[in-house]
Amino acid sequence: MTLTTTAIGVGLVVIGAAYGIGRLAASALESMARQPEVAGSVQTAMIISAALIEGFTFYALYICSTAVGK
Amino acid sequence: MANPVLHIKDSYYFEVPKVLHPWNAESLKDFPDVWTRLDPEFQQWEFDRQYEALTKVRENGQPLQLHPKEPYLKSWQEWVESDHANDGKPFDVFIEETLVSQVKSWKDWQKARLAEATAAKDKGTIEDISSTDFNAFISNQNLGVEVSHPELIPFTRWLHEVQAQSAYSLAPNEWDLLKKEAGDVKEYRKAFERKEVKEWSKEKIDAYNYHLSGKILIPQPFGAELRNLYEKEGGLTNVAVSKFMIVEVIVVLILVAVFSWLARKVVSGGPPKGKSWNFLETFVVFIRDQIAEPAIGHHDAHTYVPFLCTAFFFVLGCNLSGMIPWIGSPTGTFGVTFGLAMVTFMTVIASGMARFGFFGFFKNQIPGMDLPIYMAIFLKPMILAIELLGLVIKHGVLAVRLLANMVAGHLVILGIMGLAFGAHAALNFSAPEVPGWQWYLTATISVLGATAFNLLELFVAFLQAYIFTFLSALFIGAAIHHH
Repeated sequence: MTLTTTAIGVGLVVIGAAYGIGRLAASALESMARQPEVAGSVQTAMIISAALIEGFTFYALYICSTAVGK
Repeated sequence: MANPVLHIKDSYYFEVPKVLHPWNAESLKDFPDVWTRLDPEFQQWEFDRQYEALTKVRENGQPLQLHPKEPYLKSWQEWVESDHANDGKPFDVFIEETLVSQVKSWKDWQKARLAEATAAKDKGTIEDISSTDFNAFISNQNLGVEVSHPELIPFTRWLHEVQAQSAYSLAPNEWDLLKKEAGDVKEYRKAFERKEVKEWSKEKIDAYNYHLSGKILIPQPFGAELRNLYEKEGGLTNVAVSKFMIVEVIVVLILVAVFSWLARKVVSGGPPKGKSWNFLETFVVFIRDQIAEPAIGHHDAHTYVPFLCTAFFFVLGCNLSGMIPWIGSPTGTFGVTFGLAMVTFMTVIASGMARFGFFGFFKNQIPGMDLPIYMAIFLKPMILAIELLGLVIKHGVLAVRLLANMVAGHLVILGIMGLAFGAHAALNFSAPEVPGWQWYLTATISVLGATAFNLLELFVAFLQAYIFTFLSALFIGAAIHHH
């Protein structure tokens, strides 16, 4: 039972994170296509935002897999 | 779970391939203290000595009412076998943990009965219950409460008294001295030489040799007590040196050597020439121009560039040591990342207070709003509270982000490697002779996948170092500029 709960939790976390990073990447690519000369700084900002989102994603995954499994 | 293969958690030994550091102990004398202490025969010997010492203690001038040792031995061994977490715990830990659970039962009983008595407004019973101390609770047989391991009550009652009396003193109390005396490994070895203790069986020594080979135990400072190869005994005076501490010191020494060379080159003037000089200058100039100056501003950036460079290269060095097999990254433990985030936090607070003064720092956290006085009095303290909470959370998340990225990456690699092990186990179960094509296919996929993830981990090591530095620069910039 706890394994199913854990799996559902992990799935939800992944949905949220992937959706967020996907939208981020989409808007970054769009602005890079619109204005190629700022592509460098847009890429930097994209990587930073992706790392921030992934930070708490991993934290949530860690909590799902260990703290719930007791 | 993950320790033996990928060294994600800290340990008190360095691991190398088994052939490079074989362990060839011949008798029980040759094993290290920490290993001997976990052996069942040693724990049996220790139990006998502890029991003898406990028959000699005096509680209020009387000896403890004890049975002969068999029932205690039996209940200890049942407790060890009942739960996987109790493996290797000696008799004194059994007594201590039983005491903890009995105290908890006492507190729960007190709370429940007090709640009943207050509801019934029965003053007499309230007095009675609040004054029932642990001794009275434990000795009273007909309270109708289930306590764990009631046969240990003479021990726990005495231990509770001893701990209560020595609660405010730093010296070891009677129980600590008893444990130390009974569990002395040197005494065990001397007893072995006097032939009072039997030699361990050949199979056990061979098995221990197999488990210990490849492990180089780190020599500990005098007085450090290790519970097992991964944990040390609690206590503030118990300072033990672990593998990650040594790795961090090595990273620092490498950084000192490399950057003093770079500094000498920079002082000698002229443009950078050659590959290493240019390589290092690229990083340092990147930190100064792309991280410090945009975040902190041209005027003050030069003060913080050394700190940001140190943070970046230290985190990078620690992350990269996770790529080396058998070493593991120190930033995969919460202690290290929390320490780094604390350094950033202190820098932020110190630089903010240096710029604005002690109270000015807090005033700076509130954005300037033109509010009429009656709203300002209400809103500004709330905003200050939220901003302070946000400050603490932002720095805490710095620690968690770095930790989670390092640990999660290595766990994924472990999972992929586990595919090969799992296929091997499954095939062993069904057809033990020859590995079929399934195992070869799975092993190939596992190796290729693990390689790909290791490359990703390399990228993540650099990225996380950059993110940590960039966010530190951002927080410092926010602290020293007007909001």
